[in-house]
Amino acid sequence: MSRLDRTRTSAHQLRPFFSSQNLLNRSDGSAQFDFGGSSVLCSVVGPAEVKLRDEKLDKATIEVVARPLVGLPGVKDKALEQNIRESLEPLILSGLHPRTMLQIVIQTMKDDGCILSTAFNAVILALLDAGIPLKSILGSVTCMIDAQSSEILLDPTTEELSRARSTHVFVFDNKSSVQSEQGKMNVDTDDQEAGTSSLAAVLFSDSTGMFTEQEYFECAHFCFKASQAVHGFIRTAVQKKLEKEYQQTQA
Amino acid sequence: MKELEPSTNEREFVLAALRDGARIDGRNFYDFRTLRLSFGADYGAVEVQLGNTRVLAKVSCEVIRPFPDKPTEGFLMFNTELSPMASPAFEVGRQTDEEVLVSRLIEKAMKRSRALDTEGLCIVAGEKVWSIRVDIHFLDHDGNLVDAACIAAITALQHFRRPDVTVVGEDVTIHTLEQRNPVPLSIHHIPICVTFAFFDNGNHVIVDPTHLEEQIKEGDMTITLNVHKEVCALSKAGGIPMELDQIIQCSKIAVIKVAEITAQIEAALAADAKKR
Amino acid sequence: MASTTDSLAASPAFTFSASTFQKLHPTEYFRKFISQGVRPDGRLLDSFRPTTVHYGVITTANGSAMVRIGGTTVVCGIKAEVAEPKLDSPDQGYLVPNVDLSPICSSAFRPGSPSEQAQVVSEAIHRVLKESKVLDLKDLCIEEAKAVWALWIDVVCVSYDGNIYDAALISVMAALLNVRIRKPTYDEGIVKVPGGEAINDENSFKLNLTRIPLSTSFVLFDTDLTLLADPNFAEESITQGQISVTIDEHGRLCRISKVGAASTSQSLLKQCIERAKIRSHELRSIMNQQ
Repeated sequence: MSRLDRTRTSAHQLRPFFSSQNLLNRSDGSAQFDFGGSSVLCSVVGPAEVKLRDEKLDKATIEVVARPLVGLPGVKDKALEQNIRESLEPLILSGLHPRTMLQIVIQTMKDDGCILSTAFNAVILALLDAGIPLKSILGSVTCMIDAQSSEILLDPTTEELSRARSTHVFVFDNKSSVQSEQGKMNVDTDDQEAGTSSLAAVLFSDSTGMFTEQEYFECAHFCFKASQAVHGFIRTAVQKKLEKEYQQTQA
Repeated sequence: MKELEPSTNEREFVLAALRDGARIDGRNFYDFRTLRLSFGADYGAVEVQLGNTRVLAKVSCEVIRPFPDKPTEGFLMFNTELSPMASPAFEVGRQTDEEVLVSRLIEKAMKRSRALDTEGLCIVAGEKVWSIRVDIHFLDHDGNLVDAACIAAITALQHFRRPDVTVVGEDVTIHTLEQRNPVPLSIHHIPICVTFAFFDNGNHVIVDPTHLEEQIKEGDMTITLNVHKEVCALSKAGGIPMELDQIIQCSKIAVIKVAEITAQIEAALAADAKKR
Repeated sequence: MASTTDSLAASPAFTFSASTFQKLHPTEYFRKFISQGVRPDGRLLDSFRPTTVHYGVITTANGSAMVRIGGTTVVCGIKAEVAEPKLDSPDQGYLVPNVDLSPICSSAFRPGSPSEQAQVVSEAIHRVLKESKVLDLKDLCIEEAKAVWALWIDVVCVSYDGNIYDAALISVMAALLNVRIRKPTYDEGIVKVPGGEAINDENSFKLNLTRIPLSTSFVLFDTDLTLLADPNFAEESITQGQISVTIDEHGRLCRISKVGAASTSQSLLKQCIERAKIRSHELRSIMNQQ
């Protein structure tokens, strides 16, 4: 079945990714991540001086600032800030930089749906660019369930989202994906019986709308599969950047 | 986070270079940095790069009720909040003096110069008018935010298309982009800002200062002009006193710069229009 | 508590009371309880605090409710106002939920602009009301393109002891069930809402709710991600992750959110959904008792 944006042929196809790192001069790390017509720019500063009020004695304080494309920051942006901060806190080895601040600024550049997922992917690339020690990397994919056909569409556009019965944002880290791949080899039959990759651990999940339990886990399954492509993309992006930097030091 | 002051060595180096007639990035005194304009997929989204300074402008519109005392006038609003993305020295929710100055200067240059025809934004007098909103996002701060922001804002306004409307009696229909071709805004003229920085009691005058040069400068001045050599705004807030001749000299330089920048904006807009 | 004090008293070198231990090492103190399968307030890991719902606590509002979950008390008041509809949705009214966490309910909140948590809860409730289509906004239309009802849904937390999202959502749903709006008349651009006589079925209407979503929240404690249902304030402050499951009366899901903590297995999420189904059933019978 063809999609509404006419560039994709399958319901489980993602829009083309694009990323670039180290675009900004004043921040310690920066990255831009695009899912088709959606684009988010993220900058990272840190470890840096922390305000006395926010100082933590045993770890770094993580501050996330989200800025919308149009208008002043509102309730939606606050929710995005909280989601990203709380998901990153267990991922960043903040104990290595006690009494410092890590500031992450997220700026929407283009909005065509799935901003939360795009922001997650941009943030992780910017953190890698800034050289912040991380336990694992993450990849995020959004999907929706169509109100009429009840079909699961991955990475929907704004137009498609207006017809959604429910939307689901998932984030998976690369540690859990390695585990599940090993798990698949061992308990392949179990996995098929369950009908979902019940082994893929979820780092972040946010679903709203109307849906059944079965649909929820199906969405998790498809998003997990798609997030593998995002993980691969992030790995290649970092690899390419490092190769380039190495060549520059050699030259 | 506090801004780091440049060290004495850095300061002396920059000044010594200027006394020798050179700038540390290799530019001549009256040169702008390379200006790059890129357009988004939507109408009214422009990213401007002036050297390492980066600004994104996004224009949007909505229909609202006008003020009762100005029933036929539409609205033009600017949002110029500085984000900590541009520089860690900018804090969320607390405006620095620099921030206030930059915002006011942009508003003066763009809004008070009546570049946009706000009467043309009226749909039904006293009932419905267009409100045009320009969000300016500062992404990277390497000096001269004002010039970059003005170029971004005016280019975005020229690039923007609003949905077409038809009015039958009291009923207003707003056509989607698919139904009817959207219409451009009517723009009277194109104001462009040119910022100067002064060193050594005004003996050295440079155009388009970088962040380092801004930190060392003794005074600055921003002239807003259009191609018709009309001065829209002139701002010299503090700094060292200047001779009248020097200001006239600056305005002559500005006239040339404005012509160059306007031509570049027009070329970029034409190239983008061809692609669509 | 007695057992902890005893075991500590047994070590001769260094002794202090249980309350000192709790202040010095809140997490370690808590861990000791969890390892025994109970929580410091005497609850089991998966049990909820006593919950009560009272309808119509504010007489001047169109609908109101007060909800208590243990030490958390919230009051929700709904006020209906006549407003002008938006141009692109001329026949739809407005639902505007707002959650207020003021310094009155806990010293954790400062006066001034709404805290991040208050904004996040408001946004979550707004999304559930909107995306789960709890109410058809067309029911709030008085005259197309001229006048609609705007429902201002204000939740005020009186006493804060954790799990604000669950409490706020129950109070919003209870207050929506409690709403009565006087039937308006529209005539030549003027909306008249009759007043005076007592509200009865003749001169007022109720809201037609398509579903009643209720939420159940859990927190994840420690690295082994122990699941704790209905966290209180102390538990929220020493845990990192939260899972909320919102379910309507037919057992359909309206919202699942998992934020913070390390990755959790999907079987844990399933466990939360199962537990939420039972809890939502219990909540519904509490709401119907009144």
